[in-house]
Amino acid sequence: MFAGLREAVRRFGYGGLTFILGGCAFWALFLIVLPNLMMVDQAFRPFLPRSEWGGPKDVYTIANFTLALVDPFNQLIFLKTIWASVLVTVVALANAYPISFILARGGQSGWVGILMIGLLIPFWVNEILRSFAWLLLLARLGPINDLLLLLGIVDEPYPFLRQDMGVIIGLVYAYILFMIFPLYSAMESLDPNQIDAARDLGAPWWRIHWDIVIPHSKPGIASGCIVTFMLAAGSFAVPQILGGTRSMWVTQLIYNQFDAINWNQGAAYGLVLVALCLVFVLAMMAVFRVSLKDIAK
Amino acid sequence: MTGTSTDRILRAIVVGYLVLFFVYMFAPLIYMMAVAFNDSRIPTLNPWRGFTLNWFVVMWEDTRMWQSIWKSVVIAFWVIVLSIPLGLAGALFMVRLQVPGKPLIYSILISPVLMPGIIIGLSTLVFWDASFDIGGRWQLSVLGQSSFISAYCMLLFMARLQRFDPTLEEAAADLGATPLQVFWTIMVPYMRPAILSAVAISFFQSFENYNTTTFTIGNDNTFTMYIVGKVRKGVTPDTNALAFVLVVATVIGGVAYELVRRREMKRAARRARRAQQADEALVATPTPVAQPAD
Amino acid sequence: MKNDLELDRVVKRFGDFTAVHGVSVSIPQGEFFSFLGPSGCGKTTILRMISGFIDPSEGEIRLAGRNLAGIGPNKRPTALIFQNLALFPLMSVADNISYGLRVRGASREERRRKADEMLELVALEGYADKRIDELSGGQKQRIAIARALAVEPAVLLLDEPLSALDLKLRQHMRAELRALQRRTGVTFIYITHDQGEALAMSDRVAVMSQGRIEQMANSTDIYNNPETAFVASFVGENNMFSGKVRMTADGFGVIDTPLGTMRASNPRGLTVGADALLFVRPERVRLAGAGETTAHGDNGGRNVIESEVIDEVFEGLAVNIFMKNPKGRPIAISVTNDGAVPVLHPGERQRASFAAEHAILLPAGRLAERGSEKT
Repeated sequence: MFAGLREAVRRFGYGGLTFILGGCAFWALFLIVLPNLMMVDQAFRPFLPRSEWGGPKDVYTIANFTLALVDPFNQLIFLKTIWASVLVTVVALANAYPISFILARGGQSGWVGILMIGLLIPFWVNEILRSFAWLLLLARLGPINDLLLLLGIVDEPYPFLRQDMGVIIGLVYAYILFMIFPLYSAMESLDPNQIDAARDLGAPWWRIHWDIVIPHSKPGIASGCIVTFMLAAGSFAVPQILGGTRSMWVTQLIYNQFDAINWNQGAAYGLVLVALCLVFVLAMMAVFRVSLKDIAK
Repeated sequence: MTGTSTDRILRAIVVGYLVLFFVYMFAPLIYMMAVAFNDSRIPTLNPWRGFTLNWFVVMWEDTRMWQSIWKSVVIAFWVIVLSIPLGLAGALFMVRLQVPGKPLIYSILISPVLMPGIIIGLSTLVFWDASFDIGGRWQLSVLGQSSFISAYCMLLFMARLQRFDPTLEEAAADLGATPLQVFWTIMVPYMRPAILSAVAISFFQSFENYNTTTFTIGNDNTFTMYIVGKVRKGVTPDTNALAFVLVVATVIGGVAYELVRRREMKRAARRARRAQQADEALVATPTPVAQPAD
Repeated sequence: MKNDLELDRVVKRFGDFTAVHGVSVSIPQGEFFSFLGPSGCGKTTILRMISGFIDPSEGEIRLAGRNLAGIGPNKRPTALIFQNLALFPLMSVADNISYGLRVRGASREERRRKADEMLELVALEGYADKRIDELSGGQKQRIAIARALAVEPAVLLLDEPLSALDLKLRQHMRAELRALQRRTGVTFIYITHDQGEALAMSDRVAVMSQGRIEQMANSTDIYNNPETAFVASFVGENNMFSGKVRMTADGFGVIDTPLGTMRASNPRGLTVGADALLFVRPERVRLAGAGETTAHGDNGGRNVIESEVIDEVFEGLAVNIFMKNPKGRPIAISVTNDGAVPVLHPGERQRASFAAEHAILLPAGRLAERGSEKT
């Protein structure tokens, strides 16, 4: 340890080492660790006016968590958020997989480059604007309902925006590219000869995918799923814009507490959300048998 | 490819799927932009009431928009000022220091990337307010955003640092440079492309951030908050005019970034080719220094 | 006092591993001195200690009588040419060469003048504004030398700078380096695992193994009069026979080997009963004439070994004959191609013969590993 630091002093000087260690310490402590510890601390305290902080009522309690987990309305929202996020992840994966595979099989051809830029453009557009676009499309009198009426699929405009449906459509649209890029880069590194060899040996297409493509792209699939799920579960703007008043998302539950200045309750909701997400991420890593290192690649 | 009929069908399916997917990606954006030109108070294309640029004028003349843009620019500026050095410190720590505990520190520094933005916002607010009783304010947005934007910068810097040849630093020191001189004359120029990318990405990330900002900003309003506000309170097509401008600006900016990147790659390849030619030329010509002096 | 460099019982330990075991060398100003040895022998560690990137665990490094301990690489009057050259890729050729002056605060004109002067020295006038990635391998080599010499070092350290070049360019650069060293009069300390490089360029060579100097001498002595089994086996090709010393007399010794007794010079004064290795260079061995007997020893006759031809390889200047003795050990002979070299066939019986004064007895000891180190 000290040998490493001595070598660093020789290389960067005391000033340089101070910059490196000081920068990391400030970042890790004041922007990450301490704020999160403080949030945990606050989540275990009752909501009190500032004048009563440190007073007799300011004691540790799990009341905030009880409310989050026992209240049936809250339970419903937590379950729905997680379930919907899983659904978003699955739909995104189902669509991203073939697209990524087609693009990866395209190799270095010119059309792949153009299509990749074509994918980047919507990726660059702010997710708020992309949700706004769907707000217009899914409106009661919007073009999608016009089309459904015209085709006779529905008799009256379908209220997408008063259902969770609108939110789920918007989330898939907002985050599918976070699924495509890791999948694409994982599949691109697959030697095309492996696929040709398998085909040459007579493997049917689904076996090629099951035996070769999927095992090879596992880290990409895992990281795409984890990122998509986290973004969906933590999404705030999309449900706010597309969810209307009836569709509640955990993030809005947190925001309402924040709005009412009950940060203690909001912090407890937030921690429950993070804990649920963590369970999901760990489950994904176990299912795909990958480590954080594989995903970071 | 053999031209059997199954192959042709497969091709048709693949092409059809690609077309459908790209329609899915672009149609919503195009529809949203087109609505800006309809002379109707309701944001729709049906019914079409004639072409107008009026909504662009309405959008342009909203002073609240300009105030919110200014606030976003100020926040983005300070985020850049904070995140570039923090990201650089983190990257140097990860790549260049030989100390134990790096995996743990790395996990901590990278964790805000996966953390939902509103949690970052809430924890930032709770920490600074509980410690100093200052409430939400734009400075807290800078701190909250920097916690994860620094991580993006760090990842960019790490990628470039990993290709850095440490003997360049040793060579500079050997020629008499102090550590500070080595940093400014060797490390910073080497990192310049990554720093420029990091500035662009930091600005973009900060400017479009909504979740963390909403929780930390207090009574101020940033540009994204302004847009959300407009979208949520009964929409008029001036929002579409704004969306039109933003999408066009994003596309121009993004394509320019991508083109510059590709041109740089081509230029590097050309230089490598030229160097190889020089090598071949040298072997062919002997040089006078090879003969003993006097 | 002149800029003589002294290493005084220098030791370097990394944890439990000792890379350098008490090395002492004295290198007068203006000498071309090489450290020669296989990778891991400690030569690079010595170089990095002289340039100041690492500190010795024990002992002193002195320049002109002054102890260099505690003086960082940026304050030492040494300059290092890195194995990969470490040219600054983002600077022009001129900026690279004048970098040392820049960090010392020299004016723009002064820097430019120095760059032009150095470019002239390495015969690359007109290259000042080129980019580094536009240069060929040989040109980069010269720019690296120019950059190091521009700070007017008392000692120039070179860390296998030619290893990245192809064979032709490498031989060309050897001559160039030697000429440059003579012209500038700067002390060159050269690190290499390539004996050809070391022997061709150096005034003196230190052959190193496992952190110790095995032998320090001029090139001729290193080759002709190796002092240890390691040096004999590392430098050049050598035939080797092992045995026990039976008798000694007049600077010669006779050893018992599984092939019979052999006689050779005994410079190390081995005594009767000692384990010994006999070395003889392939070019000192020839095929025995019909009249030669296998007698040897006190009658002054040659050592003659019954052998079987394995292969004969024609190399132009020389012809190499590979044989094996009755015990299956190889014997190599190198004959100058005088136009009368006999044509041999594999399996043919022949006798290898060498004079006692051309062979050398050394104490048994560690040998160099043959293989990739040799070029």
